Amino acid sequence: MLDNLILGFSTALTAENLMWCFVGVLLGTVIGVLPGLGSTTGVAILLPLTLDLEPVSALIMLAGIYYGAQYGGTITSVLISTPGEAATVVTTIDGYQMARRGRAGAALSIAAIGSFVAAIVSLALLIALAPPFAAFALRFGPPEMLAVMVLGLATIVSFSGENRVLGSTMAVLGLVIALVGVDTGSGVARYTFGSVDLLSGIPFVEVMIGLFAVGEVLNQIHEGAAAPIRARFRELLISRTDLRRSGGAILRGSGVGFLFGCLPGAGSTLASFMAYGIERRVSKHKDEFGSGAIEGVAAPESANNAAANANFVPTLTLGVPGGATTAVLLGAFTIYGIQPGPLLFDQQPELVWGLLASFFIGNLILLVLNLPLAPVFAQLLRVPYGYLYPLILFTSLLGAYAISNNTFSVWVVLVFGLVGYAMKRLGFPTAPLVLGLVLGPLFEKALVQTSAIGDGNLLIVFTRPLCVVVLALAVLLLVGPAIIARLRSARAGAGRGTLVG
Amino acid sequence: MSAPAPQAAGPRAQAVAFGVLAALGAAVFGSSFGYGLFGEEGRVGPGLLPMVTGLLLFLLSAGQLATRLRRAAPTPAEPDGTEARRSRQLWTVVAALPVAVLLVPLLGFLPALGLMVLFVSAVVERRPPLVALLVAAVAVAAGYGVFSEFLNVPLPTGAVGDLLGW
Repeated sequence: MLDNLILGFSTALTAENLMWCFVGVLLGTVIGVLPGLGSTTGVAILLPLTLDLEPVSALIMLAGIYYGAQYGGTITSVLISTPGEAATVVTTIDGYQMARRGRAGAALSIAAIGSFVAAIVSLALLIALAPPFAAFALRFGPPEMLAVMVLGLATIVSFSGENRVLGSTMAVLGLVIALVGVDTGSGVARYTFGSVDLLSGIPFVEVMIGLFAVGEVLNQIHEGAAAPIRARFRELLISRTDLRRSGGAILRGSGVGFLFGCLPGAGSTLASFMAYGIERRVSKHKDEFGSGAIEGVAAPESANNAAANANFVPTLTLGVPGGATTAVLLGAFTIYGIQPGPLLFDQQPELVWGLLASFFIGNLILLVLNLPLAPVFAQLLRVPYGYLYPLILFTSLLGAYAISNNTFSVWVVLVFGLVGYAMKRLGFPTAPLVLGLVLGPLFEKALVQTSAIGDGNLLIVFTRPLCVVVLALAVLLLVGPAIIARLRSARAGAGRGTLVG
Repeated sequence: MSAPAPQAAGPRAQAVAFGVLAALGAAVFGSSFGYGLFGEEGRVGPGLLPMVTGLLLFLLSAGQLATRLRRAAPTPAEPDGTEARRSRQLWTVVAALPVAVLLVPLLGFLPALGLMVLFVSAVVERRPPLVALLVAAVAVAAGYGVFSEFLNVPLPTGAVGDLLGW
């Protein structure tokens, strides 16, 4: 193991590979800052730049782009409430509120620190446990994935706070929106109204740009919040209290992120939502959640970075992509003539361990680059909003067009911009809608496959132990808080009774 | 999940929203049967999930609609001068956005969006013309540099661009 690590670091730490890693992180951050362009698009767009490089250098650069783009998405999530991808949606909740309170620098710093710690934790887990985790992930067939999706949906309901019914309504609305397009199970076009553009469904990233970026701009225009945020330099820096409060959140987020990241599909998004939900439950500052709790940034950011690393578990060991970005990277592997799978670790140890070591180095570069830059990025909010928002609208529409080179995407952004504005005015939460939209197609796919396996009998999920465990967790999430609250009140009542008696 | 945004709209506006959502749920539920709920051997068909989610959306929204309707609806306050100005600004921007997109086939993507930035800066935000022009020029130049040159995104040049041979 130690030999492999030394081999990995000696490969990744050559001047050439270090330079490509740095270039990847930098370019990734720039791409990630552009609305609509997340890590998947970033890696896909910049893939041609790596074609002339040695395979190991190319993969190291692409991994750098992956992390850089993720952090770039975090910057816009915090500063202008525009997530780069689904996994950073939950960061906007408290990150943006911190920014509105002049604490954007601290939010961005804790995101970088959390991501770095998560990278170390997940790298250690990846190195030690990649083969058993891959074998574990292989046991997740359609019924198990169906159970995981149910768990994801239960997360929405259980963590919607006081507005559980409202949160559930928005999640169901997300599921309904996800129904549009060709049904993967039968090939039937649903709710497309004859439009060719709608056959592949309502595009998710465009919905996100509309709901968050355009919706927020319209809301700010109505609110008249044009005053620039003038924070003192001290407030832009992360404090010791911030670090102390975030420590547990980062570790918990890293663990949750790694677990969910090993599962193919919506692992990163689910991980960030789960981590946020858990933190909201265990934090000593529960009341601050939603209005700028630093744990609300630390936990999901650690989780999505750990999940990004864990996505490589099935990719490297099985040749099965863990997520959309690793699917693009898998394509890059084949371009370079590399066949991922169980034999890769034996046949190309230099490449695999060099890549794994570059995860650590890439995240270190990200930290070194962004910790001093976080307060600088935060200065963007000093620009009067009247100058800023026309540019946000401009880049949002441009970013939307760039996703599929189609003006249909731009129209989707405009329509969902109005929906996002209406939701903000009405006090409807947007995050459950996004999670419903992400989980919808995956949920239906797992449902159809499970019914095919069971010849129409969905109850087969109860015959598989893993499903039962995951479903039990979902039930616990739903009814656990109510039972605990009832037990507490009963105990308090008994206590009072004893005192009175 | 998220703390809802500070709510500016009252129960009446929420009731309208839940009414729309309930109608959407009913429509999805009603139309789901046309897609077929079950396939061969009782497997899940393309209409099953629309049926379930449509019904859920209808029930959840109708329940909240009833709650909002039961609440006493206060008479909406007359908008004051500032509120009216903000509303005017908002709807001007909302109108400018689709107009800019409709101009894309004629002017091209960057000029159409550049015009939108110029219009919003000069008319809505009332910046001096030169400043507004500068903001629009910077946006177009940065958009061209990043998207057209660096990322090689083929942005539409429009009829004017074709005429000029861009």
